[in-house]
This record gives sequence, structure tokens and C-alpha cells, in this order.
Amino acid sequence: MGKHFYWIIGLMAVGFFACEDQIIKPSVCNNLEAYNYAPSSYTVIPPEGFPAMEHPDDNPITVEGIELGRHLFYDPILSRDSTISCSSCHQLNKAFTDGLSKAEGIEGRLGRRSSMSLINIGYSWIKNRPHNFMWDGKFTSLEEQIVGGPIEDPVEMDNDWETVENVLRQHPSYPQMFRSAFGINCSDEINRQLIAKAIAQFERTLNSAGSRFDEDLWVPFVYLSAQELRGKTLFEGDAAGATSTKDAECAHCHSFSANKTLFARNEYSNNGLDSVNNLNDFTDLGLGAITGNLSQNGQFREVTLRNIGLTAPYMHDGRFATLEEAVGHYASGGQNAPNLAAELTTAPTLVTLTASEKEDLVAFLHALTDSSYFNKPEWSSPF
Amino acid sequence: MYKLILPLFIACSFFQCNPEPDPNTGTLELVFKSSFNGSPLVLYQKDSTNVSDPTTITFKKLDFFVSDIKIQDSSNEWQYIKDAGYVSMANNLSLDAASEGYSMTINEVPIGDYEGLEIGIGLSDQVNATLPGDYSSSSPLGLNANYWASWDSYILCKIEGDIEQSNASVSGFLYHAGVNGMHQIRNYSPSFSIGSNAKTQIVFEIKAEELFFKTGSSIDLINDNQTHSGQSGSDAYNLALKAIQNLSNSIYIP
Ligand code: HEC
Ligand code: HEC
Repeated sequence: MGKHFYWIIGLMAVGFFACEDQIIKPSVCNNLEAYNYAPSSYTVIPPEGFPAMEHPDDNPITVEGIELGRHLFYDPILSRDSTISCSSCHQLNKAFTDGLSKAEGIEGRLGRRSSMSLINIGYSWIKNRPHNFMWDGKFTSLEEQIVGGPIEDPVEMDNDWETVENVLRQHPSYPQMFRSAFGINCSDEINRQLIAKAIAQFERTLNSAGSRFDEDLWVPFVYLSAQELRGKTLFEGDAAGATSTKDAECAHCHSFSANKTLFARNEYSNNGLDSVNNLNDFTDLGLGAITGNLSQNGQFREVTLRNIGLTAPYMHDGRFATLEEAVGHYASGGQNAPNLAAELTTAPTLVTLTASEKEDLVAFLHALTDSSYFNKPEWSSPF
Repeated sequence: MYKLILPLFIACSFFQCNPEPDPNTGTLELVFKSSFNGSPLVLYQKDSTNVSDPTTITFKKLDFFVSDIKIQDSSNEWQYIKDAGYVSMANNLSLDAASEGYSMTINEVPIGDYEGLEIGIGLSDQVNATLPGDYSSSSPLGLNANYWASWDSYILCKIEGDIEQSNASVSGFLYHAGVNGMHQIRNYSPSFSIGSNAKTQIVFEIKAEELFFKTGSSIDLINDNQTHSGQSGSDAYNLALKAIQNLSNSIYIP
């Protein structure tokens, strides 16, 4: 008996510590077991020209998870004074941006950077890569971005996670939705990780590639205009079958391939926005602030140019109001800095683009606009 | 009864995370270290060239595909051990990191004694005909960043940086081989053995000065400072080919 007794005590101790969380705060177990938990798995349908989407193994997508995520995405309940939601800064018909050079948080607080498009955002996730999201690569996954990003950011939603968790636990309808998405038994199992998982699932469904560029590739007898085609040749440069005397060098960093047409290299570089002699002198250090590497100061993510016609103003700080200005910036060769990208320091014809060639480039950029998803009910506010 | 449960429980969770390794294989670690005139190559650091023009060189990028890695056993049989990997000096931002180099691990290599190693620099035309969307993002072949749509090709090597001339003017250089016909094959004869569940390391040294300054195969960093490859036979193509040949020839097993 004696020995057995110790084993029992031992096992109980293990059991105790394993469920420490539940034991310490069982206070508000609003039991949800009466509600059905039968999640329907969901497969993200890749747009034409995209491969199957990869996503983290620990967040399988379900119909119920997406629906919960959509509610949370559009619900201002996540912000301290219930005034703004994710969708305030990520608006559907602006490719999920907000039209501002710097985002506006609660009480009109001015953000540090410009909002970013969320269309095809799941495709920017590269497995095992630390720096996948944000202008500066601060976050590795969509889930991490939600847990570590806007909710507690004083210039965005200025809330704190405990409050958000408690409000949702006591909400009349959310606990049931968390039950059907994640199978929780008690409302107090709602936590920031599950909130992030649900929103990330919704984000991974925001895929669309129905621009005129795409139609030209996949739909018979739809062709880009002569001007757009000239712009495309400049964008790609001296390419097979489209020999040109001018090369705007864009496709190096806003790259794509026939079955992964992202228009983003999603690496980090200095595209010449600021003239500095010393790498410490950038006003926004970008990737360098995240990694601590001096040579990465002033490097930002090479983001997608899909839907660029919908996401003005441009660059991390929204400094360019129009695409004409953005193209004009590159055509000037870029401002000098010790880490200016080599694609720009060795661009012999970029600085010789004529006014009409710049117009051609802008016309091609507009051909990347996809309005086919506008007001799509599944992506719109459920409220 | 209880005496059994707990140890069993612990044993189960232990083995769950550590699947039994195959005793007939081991690991080969290939380490690529780059140097410039004998010192570890630190990116974004100005090095003097020891030639009259350009006077200094600053590397910003030195990345390339390796492919079709094979090893030759003592009975002269070749074993194919890896299809493609990407060697990147991107972390060479400090002397320490540069001294450490870039490491590539190849698991499940059959145990035995070996005396030959073959390694491709770049990709074969066959692999180059595939597309990033055909692979997962954990493969270097799955990344758009490594693909050059304009020429329907992977970017086989990227060599980038700045130079300073004797007249103090600073300019950039960029050599991207990104088109078919660039695959280089290197053969080495190191003697090594792979032990059961053990790791064997082979270190390569990339002598970066030989990319540009080796007598007989030098590249004019001032006048031929850029290529994104091009149509076979064109100047751009020939320059890219020279760059990847120089790269391949600069890789030694010391
Ligand atoms: C106050 C405006 C604001 C709110 C509210 C906001 N965002 Fe953002 N979002 C931004 C800005 C600005 C950036 C870029 C920030 C940076 O790089 O520093 C961004 C970036 C992102 C990114 C990265 C996109 C990419 O390509 O890397 C994701 C994903 C995202 N937000 C999702 C969300 C979600 C989900 C919510 C709600 C939980 C949310 N955002 C709330 C302004 C906002
Ligand atoms: C060296 C790589 C590189 C090249 C070449 C390049 N870009 Fe960019 N691009 C970037 C980076 C990095 C950013 C983000 C910069 C920032 O915000 O600080 C960017 C941002 C942009 C943006 C703004 C995106 C947004 O959402 O606000 C536009 C528009 C753009 N680029 C167009 C072009 C065009 C057109 C060309 C060719 C003339 C080009 N780029 C060439 C790296 C590059």
C-alpha cells in the first residue's frame, strides 16, 4: 500500500500541475457543453496563379473559425473605448488599407506608419522565417501579429488583453462561437491565442487575383492595352520575348512567377527613400530596429504591388500621394545611402525614363487592381 | 500497476518527440565560409582590393544555389544526397558571424567511408524549368524571391555590392545569373566517413577576391558592373556565366 500511495500522490501532482490554469481560476466557468461542437474543415481555394496556401499546423482552418474571426475583425469591442476595429484601418474596398499616410487609432491618435493591404496576406507567410509581416518584419506569423500588435498598441486600439478576454468571456454570443470554432467547454477558456487564431483564419481567406493582369494571363482574348503592355515590359525589363532598351528594374523586388504571382519579393531592402550618409540617421530604422543590425537600418519589406491603385498613399510612411510620385521617386534613381539596394545602384536606364514611359508604368500598376472582390459578402462586416 | 503507468507515460512522451534514428545513417554538415584576401568576408564592410582600381570593395550580398550533391564511396559508387539548397552569406554582418559561415545539414546519409564529393553551383536546366509554386516555402525553390520571372528562371547566384575608385567615385555592382545553361559542377576529393547517428563536417572556403580579381578571369567592376543575364550568347549572358564560373572556381575545401 505504502509504495502505491506515493505513486498515486505523484500522479495527482502531475495531473494538478498539468491543469494548473483551470484550477487556479475556475471562477466563471460558464459551461458551454450544451452547445454543439462539430467544426467543418475548410480548404482555402487558391486564386488562379497561386499555389495551395500553407499555414501553421497548430491552427487548422474551419468554417466556424473563419466566421468567428470575421466577427472579431469587424468588432470595435477589441479597442479600449469600443470605437475602432481592425476594419477601421483595414477597409474592404481599399484592399484592406485606410487611405491615410499614417494610420489613425483611438481618439484620433496618429500612428507611426501606413496601413498595409491584407489581400492574399496568408501567402506572405514563409515557414520558419522570423520576419514575415509588417513593414519592418516585426512578426513571424499572423497569429503573432494579432497577439503582439494592435490591441495593446497605445496609438491603435490601446486596450489590454485581460480586459479583452474578460469582455469576450462575458459576452452574450461570443462564448458560443468560440465553442463551435475551438470546442472550449468553459467561457473562461477564451484567451488571446484563440482570438488570434480565429482572426488569422479569417485573414487567410482574403485571397483574390482578378485583376486585368490576371485576366490577360488566364482568360482567353482579354489583353492588356498597348500602354499597359509597354508598362509591363518596363516593369520586367529586358525579358525573354520582350526585349526593351529600357529597364525600370521593378520586378527584381516586386517579383512574381507564373504560379506564385505575388508581385512581392517579401525580402527587405532600402529602396532609396531617404538620403543618409550614416546608417544611424534614418528616422525610421525599419528592419534594423528589429534585428539590431546596423546595415539593416532603413530596410523595409518589399511589399506586394497587387491592388496598388487602391492603397494610396504609398510607402511605410505614406509619403507619396500618387503612383506617379512613387514611380517618379524610382526614376530619380533613389536617394543615396550606404545600403541603397544594388538593384537601384546598378540600374543604367532607370534614370532615363521619359514622361510617357513613366505613364506606361503607372498604367501597368493600375492593371494590377482587382475589383472583383469588392463588397464580397463573406469578407464584409457581419454586423 | 501504478508502478508501470508513470514510467510508461514518461517513456511514451519521450519517444514521441524523438523518433528512433536510423542507425545506418548519419549527418553531413556542409559549412560555407567566405573570405576576402584571407579575412572572413563581412558584408557592408569596406575591404581594400590590393589593386589600383577599384581601391575598395564592399560586398552586400553573396548568395547562390547548390544542387545535385553526390558523394562517392570507397567502391567508387556515387550516392545522391541532396537536390537543392541555398547558400546565403546574409548573416555575415559581423566578424563572428562571418567566421562561423553558413551551415547546411544533410540528414540520413548512409554510413561509410567516402572519398569524393560533387556539388552543383546553380541549378540544372531541368530543375530550373520548375516554378516556386511547385514547392513549399521551406524549400529555397519555393520562394518568389529566388525567381526571375522575366527569364523564366531561378536566380542562381546573387553577387552584389559597391566599389570605390581611385578617383573616389563610388558605384554599385550586381551579378545575377538567372537563365539556363549556367549550372557549374565541382568535384572534390575529401576523405571522410559518416558514422551511425553522428555528424561529419566539411568546410568550404569561398575566396571572394577570386570572383573579380583572379588573373586570367577578372571582371571589370567599373565598366561591366551589372548583369541580370540575358539571351544566350549576349554580353549580359556571358558576363553572368563568367560570374557564376568564377564563383564556382572560388570554392575550395581547404
Ligand atoms: C489604428 C489602425 C490599425 C488597426 C486598428 C489595426 N491595424 Fe493592422 N496595420 C496597421 C498599420 C499601420 C500596419 C503596418 C504597421 C507597421 O508596419 O508598423 C498594419 C499591419 C497589419 C498587418 C501586417 C500586414 C503585412 O503585410 O505584413 C496585419 C496582418 C494586420 N495589420 C492585421 C490587423 C488586425 C487583424 C487588426 C485587428 C486586430 C489590425 N490590423 C488593426 C494599422 C492598423
Ligand atoms: C530594391 C528593391 C526595389 C525595387 C527595384 C523596386 N522597389 Fe518598390 N518597394 C521596395 C521596398 C523595400 C518598398 C517599401 C519601402 C518603404 O515603404 O519603406 C517598396 C514600395 C513600393 C511601393 C509602395 C507600396 C505601398 O504599399 O505603399 C510602390 C508603389 C513601388 N514600390 C513601386 C515600384 C516600382 C514601380 C518599381 C520600379 C520602378 C519598384 N517599386 C522597384 C523595393 C523595391
